[in-house]
Amino acid sequence: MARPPRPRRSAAGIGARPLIWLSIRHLDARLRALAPFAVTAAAVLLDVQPLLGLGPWGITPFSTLCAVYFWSLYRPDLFSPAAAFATGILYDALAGLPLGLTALVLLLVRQLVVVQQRFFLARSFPVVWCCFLLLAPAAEIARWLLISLWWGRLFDLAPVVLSLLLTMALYPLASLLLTRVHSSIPRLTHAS
Amino acid sequence: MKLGRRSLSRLALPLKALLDRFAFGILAVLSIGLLIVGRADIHVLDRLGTGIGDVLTPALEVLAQPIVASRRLVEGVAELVALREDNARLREQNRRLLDWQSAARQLSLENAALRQVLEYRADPGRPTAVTGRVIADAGGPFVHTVLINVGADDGITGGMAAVNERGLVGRVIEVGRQSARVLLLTDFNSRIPVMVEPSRDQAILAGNNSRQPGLIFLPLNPRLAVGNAVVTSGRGGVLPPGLAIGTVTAITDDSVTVEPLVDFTRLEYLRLLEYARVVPPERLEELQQEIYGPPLPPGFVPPEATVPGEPLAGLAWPGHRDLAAAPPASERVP
Repeated sequence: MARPPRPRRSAAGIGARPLIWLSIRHLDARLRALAPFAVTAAAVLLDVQPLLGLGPWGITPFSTLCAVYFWSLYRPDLFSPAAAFATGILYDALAGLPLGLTALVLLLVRQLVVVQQRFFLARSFPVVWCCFLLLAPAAEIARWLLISLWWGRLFDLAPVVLSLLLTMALYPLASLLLTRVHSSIPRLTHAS
Repeated sequence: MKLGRRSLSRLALPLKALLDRFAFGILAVLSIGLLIVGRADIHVLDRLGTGIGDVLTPALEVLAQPIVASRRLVEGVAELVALREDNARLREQNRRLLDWQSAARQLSLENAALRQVLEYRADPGRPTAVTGRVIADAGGPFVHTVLINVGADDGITGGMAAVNERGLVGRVIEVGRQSARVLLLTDFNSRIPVMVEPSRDQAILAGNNSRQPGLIFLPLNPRLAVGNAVVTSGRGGVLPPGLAIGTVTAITDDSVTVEPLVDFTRLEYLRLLEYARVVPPERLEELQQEIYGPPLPPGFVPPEATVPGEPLAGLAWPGHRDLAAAPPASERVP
């Protein structure tokens, strides 16, 4: 198919047709830029789905943490602190946890990853996964400590550990799926 | 125009940079603030939480469809495999249930007859039910609550009992317009007034975040045995009496453990029973008189305390006549 001739810019400004074309491209880029938050919000909805629990405790992995780690690592420009905060509030509201609990932990996770971004640059997947294996327990223990403080009682650690193991095992799969989404987002969204 | 835009961006860009720079700090402080304010039981935050639940109810419902379908498929295959054993088990169960049915029929007739003799007024608060589907269950290690897809618009109110086909699941603690949150009886915040059958000992079922809640506030020398049924007692007037909860599985010196009948990992549909017969305090005395008659005078000794055949003594309120000294009925007729 022949490529349409490049629109010429008139002195008065941009012509009507190219403007629509540009704005559609712009809209498309903007929507794609929303993908990291949208995917993370979908992970929250998945995490709170009933009938997915395993074993006698009904344990589910915390897949939201995988998504937050991934986007903080690869697209921190599209996954702002506000996005991490909103994800946490969403999770807290749906899971019936005190509002702000998961929000604080996810904010800390994002900040930690962004601060250490230089270290992660051009690292292979096993290194990235190993870092997740270190970060996920820290995040879950922070959540456990915070909620224990909030309620004023110590919660049983066994279900926390089981959920954590599931989360850590889930990361490669989550990373695979999120990479697909990542490759569909244009690198420079402001170019259009 | 060009100049205006440039000056605007000259103003806005540093502001945006400033916000970006301190976004983490601001939001972290906001999170901590929310946690502290939430601890103080501020209703605005509850409303925010239920509001988010309301808004996302349709999304959660849509997302649940493939999960429910795949789970049904897996269960269907598992059922096919276990068909023979299930059939044998069900036949045996059916035989036992038929025995129970005849016993129940006899007992209900006897019960009706006895009620007629006693002029017993049955509980007028007949529970009405609304059915909802579980749309969110964090299944987390911290709180044991589920979100259901019915709310105030469907007539749900706080405190309603949530049951499924096996027994009591929990009670409603937060109500949004289209969603409500049910506190499961395994949650450590759950306290439910119960009664142990057949001794009818009253106690409180206290959740502890494990699969097996315990009984607290038992009477002195409780008459309990492993295998006893635990049902709601209806005390407090919030939950209907007689809802099945579970069986006593272990009794030690300092704890009694109850195994709930409900499988909390497979909650799908819940029935919400309305039974809030709350009596306002100003009507309490009136209602007591209606049930128990006029208040007894001081110094009253119940008739059972006296030896049969002897004249009743110690009754000292005005207008009392000694029953033993009363003339025969024939003499009383003028």
